[in-house]
Amino acid sequence: MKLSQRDFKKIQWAALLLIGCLLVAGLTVWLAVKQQKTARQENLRHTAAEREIAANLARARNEEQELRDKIIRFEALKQRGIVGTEQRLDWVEIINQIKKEHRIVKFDYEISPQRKADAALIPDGADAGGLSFMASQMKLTLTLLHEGELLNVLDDLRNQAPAWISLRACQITRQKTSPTAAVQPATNAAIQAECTLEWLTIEQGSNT
Amino acid sequence: MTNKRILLFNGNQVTAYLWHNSQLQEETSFLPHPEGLQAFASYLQQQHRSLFYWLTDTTEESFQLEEIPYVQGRDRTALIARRLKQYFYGTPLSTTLTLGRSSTGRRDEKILFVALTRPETMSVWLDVIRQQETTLAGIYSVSLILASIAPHWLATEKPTLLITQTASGIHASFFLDKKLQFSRLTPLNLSTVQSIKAPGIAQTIAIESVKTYQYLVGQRQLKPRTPIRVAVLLTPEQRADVESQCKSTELLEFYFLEFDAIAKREKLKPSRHTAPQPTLDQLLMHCLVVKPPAQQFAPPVEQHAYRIWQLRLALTAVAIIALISGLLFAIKTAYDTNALKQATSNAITQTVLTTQRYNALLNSLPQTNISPDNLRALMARYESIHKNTTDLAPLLSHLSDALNNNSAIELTSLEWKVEPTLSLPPTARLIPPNKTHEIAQSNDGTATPPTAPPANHTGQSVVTLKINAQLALGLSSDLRAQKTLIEQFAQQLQNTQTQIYLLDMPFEVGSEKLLKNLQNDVNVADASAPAFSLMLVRPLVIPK
Repeated sequence: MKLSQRDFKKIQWAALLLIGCLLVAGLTVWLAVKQQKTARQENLRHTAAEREIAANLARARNEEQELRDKIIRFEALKQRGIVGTEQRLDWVEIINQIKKEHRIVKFDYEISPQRKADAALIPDGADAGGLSFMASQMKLTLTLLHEGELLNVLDDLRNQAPAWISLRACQITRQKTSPTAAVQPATNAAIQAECTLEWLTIEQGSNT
Repeated sequence: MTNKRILLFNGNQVTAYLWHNSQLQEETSFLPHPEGLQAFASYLQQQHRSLFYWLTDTTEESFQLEEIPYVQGRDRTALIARRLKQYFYGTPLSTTLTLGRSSTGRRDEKILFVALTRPETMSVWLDVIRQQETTLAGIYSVSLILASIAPHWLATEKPTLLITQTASGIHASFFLDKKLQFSRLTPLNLSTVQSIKAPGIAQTIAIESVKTYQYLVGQRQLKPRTPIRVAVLLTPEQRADVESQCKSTELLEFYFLEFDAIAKREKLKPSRHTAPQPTLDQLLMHCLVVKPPAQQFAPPVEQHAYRIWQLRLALTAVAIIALISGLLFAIKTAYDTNALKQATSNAITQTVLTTQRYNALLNSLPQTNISPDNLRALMARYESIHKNTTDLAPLLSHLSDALNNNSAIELTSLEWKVEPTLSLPPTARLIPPNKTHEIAQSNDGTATPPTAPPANHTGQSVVTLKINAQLALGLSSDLRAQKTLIEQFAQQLQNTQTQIYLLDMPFEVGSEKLLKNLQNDVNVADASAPAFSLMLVRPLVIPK
């Protein structure tokens, strides 16, 4: 069947109606689907948030005591100065105090610039919980009367320093007895120790 | 909604009927003179939105039954068109009815060629219809309608002659296997038409039955002496007369169909405007509108407006279906969306409540500025550092215990280290657990190859303590005593956690080494004490 111009005129309103209906139907469907998509995304987002907070609550309830202990320990670390920026002036004062208390003949040290703790120190990585573990290396040279003094000095450092002290290496050498040692008791030291320590601190990030 | 109208043509005048709600209403009639044609044109113009059916009830209808080779597609169309031209030359109003395929021989296809043989009687009317661009669904005849609907009325597939009466006359239609084979109209005399109950009609029916039977035998559509059934469609008023006239014979077995029952079955309602009793013409017109036959006589040019109407209807229908489908889908989607929103609202409410409980729990904890998750991660890492940190004291204490039992050994220096992996000098030899006598074997030349401790294999960090020591000067000349002393010392240092490596001995008696006069050497080095070195290795993290 061939359609003439006149025939097209006869069906033009039906064709326009079809186009109009298709447009209206298409638009309605598009809007409905769009709204449903948005609603689904919202639903997914909120149900995920609901599940997450529910899981957090359940875990927090289960680990309430553990969490409580951890907070106390964390606050203790903050209190001691392990969490936060390095307090090198405090370090120097504590070192001087320990030196004075133990009457160490020779107490030389050198602390390197701070760096992020490497894998040799923390194999799992320096970053955790939005905070970073930082390390400052200390080279310590001591002249001591006996090995016990070294252990005491290290214990005091570990107990008093506002940082976590990690001993990495220590060389202890027995010094040969000097002929003048009898008349100069101050230099009657028996051993010399050269130790490497890492002063670890936790630098607080912004997202805690 | 498009109105449907039927134009009934009896060979002379055209009567227009309106079909509405299964009822037929006669509107007007037109005669074939100029005024009548003018009125007809005006009527069509007024009803230009209606769909028209042309029904012809005239004697000028011809049938030809033929078996044609079974072909399909264009070949079949061309073959049928050729046969129609051969049989009915000069009339465009022709069509065919397929009667199935022959059961024998080539299994040719049986075709009934039908035509209205005097188109000129209708052409004046059809010209007006074409001029007015009237929507004409098709041109039909009574026989075509009967071919379509009468098979449902017949009780059997046996050869049956169906006798029906319309306003134009008596139709005798022959059916075989419930398929129309032939039909003819016998006009009634004006005198007999006066009364539908007139005995003349009954007599005509009986006569026509016999004549048609003879004609069919003559045309070889029936074998001679073949009995057939004759079904007569009757109104209750006609029944007594017809039954008295139409007695069954050896060849013709009469039976009667109730018009009222059939009209009821075809859902024809009596007209409110005309006689309460519907006629067969009305029944046929009703069936034409409700179930139009597949075949009709109009050539494509007459149906052009109808095709446009169909196209418009299809477009409108598709538009409405699309709109309704779209709206229904949108409603369903909106319903689902609403349910989702409700679920989201519940989730938000639940989240708020859970958050409040969570915050209340957190508030009951000691105050801190770190979130629980971060705290867990941080403290876990801190624990791991804690575990990976050790001190001098354990190894020094262990060494001190061993030295207490070996006063002849004097330390010269100690090197304590935490190492990610164990690195040993090439000359280091592992002392197997509790087999310190093998030191002697090593010194005798059967050296134990250096092997790494398990910690080294697993990549675990280790703590090492290198011991540089010397023996008392008095043992300088007694190599066996030196060996025994070092053996004892090493044995005391060894335990399940600690591996001992021999790094240097005061003397070398291995087979691969040069052996000289040791006594003389000792004398030469009279001033130095015998020195040796060992290495203690422990894993940094000792498994529990």
